[in-house]
Amino acid sequence: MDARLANTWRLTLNEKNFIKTALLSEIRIDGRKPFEFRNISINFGRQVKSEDGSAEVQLGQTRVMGIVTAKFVQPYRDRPNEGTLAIYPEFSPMADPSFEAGRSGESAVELGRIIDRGLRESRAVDTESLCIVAGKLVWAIRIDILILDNGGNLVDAANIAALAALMTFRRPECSLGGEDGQEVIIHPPEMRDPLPLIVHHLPIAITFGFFIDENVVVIDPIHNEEAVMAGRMIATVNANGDICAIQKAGEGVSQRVIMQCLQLAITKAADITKQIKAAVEAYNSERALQKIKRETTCVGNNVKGDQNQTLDNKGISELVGKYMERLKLISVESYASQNINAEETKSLRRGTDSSCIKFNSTPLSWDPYSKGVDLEFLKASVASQVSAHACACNPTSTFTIPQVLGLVHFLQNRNTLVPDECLWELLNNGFFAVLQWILKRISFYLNKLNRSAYNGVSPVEFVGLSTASEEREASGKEKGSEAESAGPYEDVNSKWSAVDASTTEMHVIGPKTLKDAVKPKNKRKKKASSMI
Amino acid sequence: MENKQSSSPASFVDSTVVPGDVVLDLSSMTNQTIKLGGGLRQYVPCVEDTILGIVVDSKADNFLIDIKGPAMGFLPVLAFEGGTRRNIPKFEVGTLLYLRVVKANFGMNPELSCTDASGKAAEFGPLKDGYMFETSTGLSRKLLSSPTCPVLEALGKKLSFEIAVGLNGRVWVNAASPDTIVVVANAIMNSESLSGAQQIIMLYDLMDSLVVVLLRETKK
Repeated sequence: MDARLANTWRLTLNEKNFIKTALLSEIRIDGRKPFEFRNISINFGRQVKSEDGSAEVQLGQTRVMGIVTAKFVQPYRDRPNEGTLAIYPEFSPMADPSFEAGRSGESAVELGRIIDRGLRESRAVDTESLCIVAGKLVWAIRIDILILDNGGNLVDAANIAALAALMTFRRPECSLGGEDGQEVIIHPPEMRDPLPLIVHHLPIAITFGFFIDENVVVIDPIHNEEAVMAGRMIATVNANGDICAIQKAGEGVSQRVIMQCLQLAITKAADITKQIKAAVEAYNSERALQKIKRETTCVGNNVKGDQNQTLDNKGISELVGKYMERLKLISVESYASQNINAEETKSLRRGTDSSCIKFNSTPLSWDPYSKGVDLEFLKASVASQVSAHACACNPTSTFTIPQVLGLVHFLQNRNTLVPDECLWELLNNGFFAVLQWILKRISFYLNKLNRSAYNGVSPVEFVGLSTASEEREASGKEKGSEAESAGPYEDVNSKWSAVDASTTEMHVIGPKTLKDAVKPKNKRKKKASSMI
Repeated sequence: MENKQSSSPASFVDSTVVPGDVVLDLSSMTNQTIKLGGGLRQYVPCVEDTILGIVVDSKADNFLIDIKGPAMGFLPVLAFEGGTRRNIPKFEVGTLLYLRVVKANFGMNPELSCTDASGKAAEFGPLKDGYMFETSTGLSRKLLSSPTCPVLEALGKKLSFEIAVGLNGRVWVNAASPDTIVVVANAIMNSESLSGAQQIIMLYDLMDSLVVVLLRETKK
């Protein structure tokens, strides 16, 4: 008993007098102006499913926590299609030595009542959307308010905490189903995203303190000021200028002062509403970001999962990366990889898949770019030439096509996918040259395809898939016609054989005939001899 | 918890320590007396401490004084200069008094006095006007240490005010204008965790934003 007596906070007469005299000169003991709010900081729980709907608000030294939960109940008889809302304030003894554990007197009840009135009577939370089965099952929203530290003006802080928690709360989606259509299925958060509550507007509580002299009014009183003030008014207003509720206690105040206070309250409420909304926005965007991260990894897995290859994507990207750095095309790479859509990626890779299987069996003797070749030298030579050209950033003259396709071939034979990005990069530089050359080829191939059963369509597909969109459009038409004539032999390996074909073609540009494309095998042998 | 010991190793001075830290190795100090200070928030009464107490109640023989400690202090009704049964002072509940601790034993209510050891008043007694605020006991010790705490020194150069510091973590400030009082109070409260240099920086910032106060002071 003695210890508790010793622990309670006491107000000295000096303090009392000083607060009053200072306020006459419009000075408050913490240095604020009479109509200045303390700094508000709103923190939310982590973006984990179980922590949605909890907010901690700091108003200077006052700290309050608001937590929102929901469960199923039967609705009230007179409101069969509305959910319910209930506020449970808890004054923790750690906030103030005068608070006892359990319900602490009038102030706790009053606080709960004020917040409840502000939310319920003004219909800030849409309760009709909380109805699941009319007359039988509705959501009951419960807001727990926990006072952590009492630095004055608990009502305002608790109100902000309740609003912030309500805006970030998510309830699981549920639907009617089952055999008779009467069962309620609650969808777990992993299956369907939980839904937020519908909050029409934010009723903000602003507390005013009146002192002996009627003209002395302060907003957001501090602990000491609260002990000294003679009268108090809590106005719950929203940013639209609606007055949701007013609570007045203590000494009488004239009507003029009340009207002034209400005007001021509306201005302050607008500021606070902005702050709450900004904090909630930040929280929601972080939440969305987290969700996106999860989903993209899923998609990536699906695509890669198709391949049973020993393809090491990391290896590819490293390899590509090296080349990218050398070629100084990093920025374009990201653009390119975004542009190329999943379908094309898939088909391209599947194609490479099968083609690689074919090619990987043995190092091809007829192929100059198989493992027998000194790869380092090849890399270096190509890279140096390429980089020399790339530095000039001259898209038209840079690569010679043999270099481009040689690189492609080289990569492909090393058990790697030729990433479309890589191809894209290389082709970008040798873009126009390649385009020109390829379009020349098309005229040849048109004839060859009619004759050959072996290699279906060829470079046109290759062109269509892995070059620029403009090119795609141009060659698309041709591709269409080609595809038809090529028939169902949708051998994507034909792409690569086309590459080979084109490679071979290139090297033997002079004596090229129709036969070249038709039977690249033969051609390659010839090429091998000519190359090596 | 800050431990204000005379011979603590340099590494722990002015920093917070936690259970387990070896602040002082006593094995090498067998002949010396070590005085331990009180905690941060609650005050442990020691004899000959000067504190600020608030009158809670008055009984027949003594006043009950709240000294922010584990137990209430007793201020005998006669413990004033020239105090007799005829002129017992009347203190309202909530009066602030500057007191001296006479007896302080564990478990007993400490006994206080409004006179110094020789019976003279010597500034003890009720404090009129001004403003009282609470700090940690560590800070109040800092404020009373010599050489003067940088905060007080810097404040004293620009402003004129009167200050009474109680070792139980209470400080009373009085000045001509309320602005000065507010500035001094906030400056001292903010200097809790700052080092000397930081305190001075903080003060300059505070001063810059309160030029009005200085103007008023210079006018007077």
